[in-house]
Order: sequence, then structure tokens, then C-alpha cells
Amino acid sequence: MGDWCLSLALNVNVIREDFPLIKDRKIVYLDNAATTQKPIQVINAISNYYMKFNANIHRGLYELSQEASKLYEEAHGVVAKFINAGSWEEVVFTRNATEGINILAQALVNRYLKPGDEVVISIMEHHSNMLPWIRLSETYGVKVKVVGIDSDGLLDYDELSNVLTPRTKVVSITHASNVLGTLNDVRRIAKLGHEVDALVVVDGAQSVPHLPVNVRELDVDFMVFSGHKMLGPTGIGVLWGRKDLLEDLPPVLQGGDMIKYVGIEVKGGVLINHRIIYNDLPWKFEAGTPNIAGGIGLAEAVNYLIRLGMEEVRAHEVELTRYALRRLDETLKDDIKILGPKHPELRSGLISIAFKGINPHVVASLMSTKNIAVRSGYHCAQPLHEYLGVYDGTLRASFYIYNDVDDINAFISSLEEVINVLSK
Amino acid sequence: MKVIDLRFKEPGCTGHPVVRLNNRLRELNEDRVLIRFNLEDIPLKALELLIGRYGYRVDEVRNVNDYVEVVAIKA
Repeated sequence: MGDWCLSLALNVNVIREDFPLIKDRKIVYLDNAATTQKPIQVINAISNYYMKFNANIHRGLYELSQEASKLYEEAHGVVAKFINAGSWEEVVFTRNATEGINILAQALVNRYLKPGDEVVISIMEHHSNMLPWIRLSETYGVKVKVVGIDSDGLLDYDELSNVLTPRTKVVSITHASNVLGTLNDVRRIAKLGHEVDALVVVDGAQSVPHLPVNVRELDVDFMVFSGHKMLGPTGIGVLWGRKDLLEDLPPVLQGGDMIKYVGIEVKGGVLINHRIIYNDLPWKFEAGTPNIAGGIGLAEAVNYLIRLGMEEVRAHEVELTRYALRRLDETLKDDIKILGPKHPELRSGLISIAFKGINPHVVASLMSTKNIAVRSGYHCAQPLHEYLGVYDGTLRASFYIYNDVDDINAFISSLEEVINVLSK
Repeated sequence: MKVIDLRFKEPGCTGHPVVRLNNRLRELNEDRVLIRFNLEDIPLKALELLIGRYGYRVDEVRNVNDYVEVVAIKA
């Protein structure tokens, strides 16, 4: 390994003590872009809610319901502060980033989009930031434009600038690619989008868990992310939006708690009139009984990350990525192709690898026999893989706060061994 | 003898023969199983290692036209 000296920003040994699954299963877990492991603090917060505070929110006058409501509302505040939102009312809890984009797409089409209007995305998008807009092109005649990338996996900003027209109403681009690792210059994208009066939507699923995100500084209009990718439970995510925009948008999911008043007039068994007063933000967009425990768990996850420091989280991953890229180049340069930018500072903490004549699913399966957890396939970004000519998919290793150099060494050793076995 | 036929690829990430093999092996409770597959999808050495994880070993290998049959037995 040469004279490589690595100094990590986080104390992984201490952090691992908080993660029961990692401690107990002796697994080298490198699939954090898919989902992250949960610290005991998050597990306890959820368990504690069910043991001591479980009640439906916003419905009961009794103390238990009031306490549950307070915890859930405070959770919105914790997340709002984490991303420097203007207020907690701008934070809508959803099931995940995917649901957030779907809700947003439907809300926007009801208010801002008409046939022939344009939505601009990039070729590196996850299916969740591609399919909702494609659906709008099928059902509402919206035109979807797709911006390409250069040979380093960086967004083609010149092409983005050229495709924007007065009919562009939405620019929806990922902050960090879940395949390339590319970190997009969201402020630059927002500036370009706003120059044509388009709304700027950002998929933050792979960025909010990994680096400091300040939505007001980025000057974006909407952002989505998922709780389970940032130490939180599954089934909870965030749609953040500027307050004035969220107030203007109609709700998508209809039902309980998203209204202040519902009145109907029925004549002869037929509804002839109705009057609905929608609830205030964020409840207008949170119909039905929400994932209360999930929201509380997410707030605890955010607090855990705040204690670590997002600058430190980012620095930790940059160093791991730098080390991994260098080791991969030293040991397997002729056998693999690494996707995305060459410089760790331009990418998030994940590395996707394409092989010559070896299927990544086979590689991942063999690595799993050594308890190394990596992901294989298209990573819900099939158009990107086809654009890159990588038709069999890729193998992806993605890092987080509880990974260290030993994990990367184990990954690379196993990869070397598998390639040797399959090349014979 | 139970047969696991992996010759045909289904679309999507979960359709690859090695993914299907893993899923089938996880549920299997047979002493002998016949696995049909294409070497270009799963190299023989990889198959050996994968079935070994579930307690099987290769007993017989047969080349049949353009695919391969392996009889695997509980080790």
C-alpha cells in the first residue's frame, strides 16, 4: 500500500459502538447509498415513542396525544434547522424522497405546468427523479429534456444552459449521483434555472446525509431526501419547499388532518356542492395518520449527525474515497473502470465499478460469501448505464460514518480475489 | 430431482441468473439439485463457490448444447 498515510475525521471505533448490527454481524457494510445502519439512539427513540408516547397526533385533547403531537412537530423543526430552512412549516414529512418527488410533480402539474411546458432533468438521475416527470409527459403533454454529462461524469452545464427556454418551468436535478458520485453545482443550476423563471427541484437523497446542505444558501425551491439513508428509519422522508410556493400549491394526497374544514351539500343523494379549507403548512401535505415514530426517529438521526458535524462527515468520506480510488488504481487498474470524477472532492463517498467480461452481479454474490455487502446492477439508474455503454450494470461500494480503511482494504482484497477467480 | 433452470434472463436487476440462483438456494431443502445455466452468465467456478455457501458441492458437470447442467449435492 506504499507510504499512504490516512487521517480520518471521525473516530470509527467509537461510532461503531452505537451500531448494534455492525457490532454483532461482523459485516463489511458498503451499501450505504441504498440504506444506512441505525444507531441505538435512533432505535431507542422509536422504541421509546411506542412505549411512552404512542397516540395519534392533532386529534386528541388528552395529554398523551398532546405529547405525541409536540414530539412530531418538534421533529419537523429539527430537520428544518438541519437544512437551514426558513421555518419548520417548510418541512413536509413523506415516506421517502421518491414520494416527495411524485407529490411535487403532481402538485406542480395542477398549478404550474401546462402542455408543451418543459421539465429539465439530467441523464444521471435516479429513476425517482425521472419517472414522475416522464409520467407527466405521458399524461399532461409536458416535454422532458435530458441534459448529458462529460467524460468525467460531470454535468454538462453548457448543455443545461442551452436547453433552458422561456417554456422551461422546472429544472429537477440530483445534488449527488448515486452511481457516478458526481456532486453537482446546485447553486449554479439554481441560478440558470431562475434566469428563465423555472422552479428548481433538487434530489438530495445522496447529499443531505453526507455533506452540509443549506437550502437557502443553495437558493433552490424544493429539495427531497430520505430518512433511511441518513441513519433514520425507513418509511420517512422529507419534501422541503419554499413557504410561499408550498402555500400556493394544491395538496395531492387528500384525507384526514390536511383540512381545517370540510362541508358538503347533498341533494337527492348526489353531491352538489362542497367547501374545503385546507390546513396550514406542513399538514396540508401530510394527509392521514403519518409515520409519527419515523418522524421522531428521523429527528434523532439528525441530532446524531449534528453531534458528529456534517463537515466532519464529509471530510471522513472524502478521505475514504481518496484512499479507495488510489488503492483501486494501484491494484486493479487494468481490470476495472471506475465511473465518475477522478477527484474525491468532486464526488460523494461512493464508487461504481464496471468490469470487462465479468458480470457485477456475480462479483457481488461472491463478495457476499465473505460478508462484504456491496450493490450490483443499475442502482435505479438504467438510462445512465445505457448512456455510458455499461449494459451489464456496475458494482457499487458506498461509504458512511462507520466505515474505515480496514473496510476498504477488505473490499479491495475481496475484489482482487474474485476477479482472479473469474478470470481463470 | 429438483431443477433450477437459469438459462433465461429476465429484465431488471433481480432477473439476472445469479440473483435468481441465490434466491432459489436460500429456499432449497433438497439433497440433490440440477442446475441449468449459461457459463457466460455464471462461470463454473463462481457457481461452485456460491452453492458451497449453502452447503452444496458440484457432483457432476454436463455440457448440453449451448448450456451447462450441474448436479449439486449436499456436502
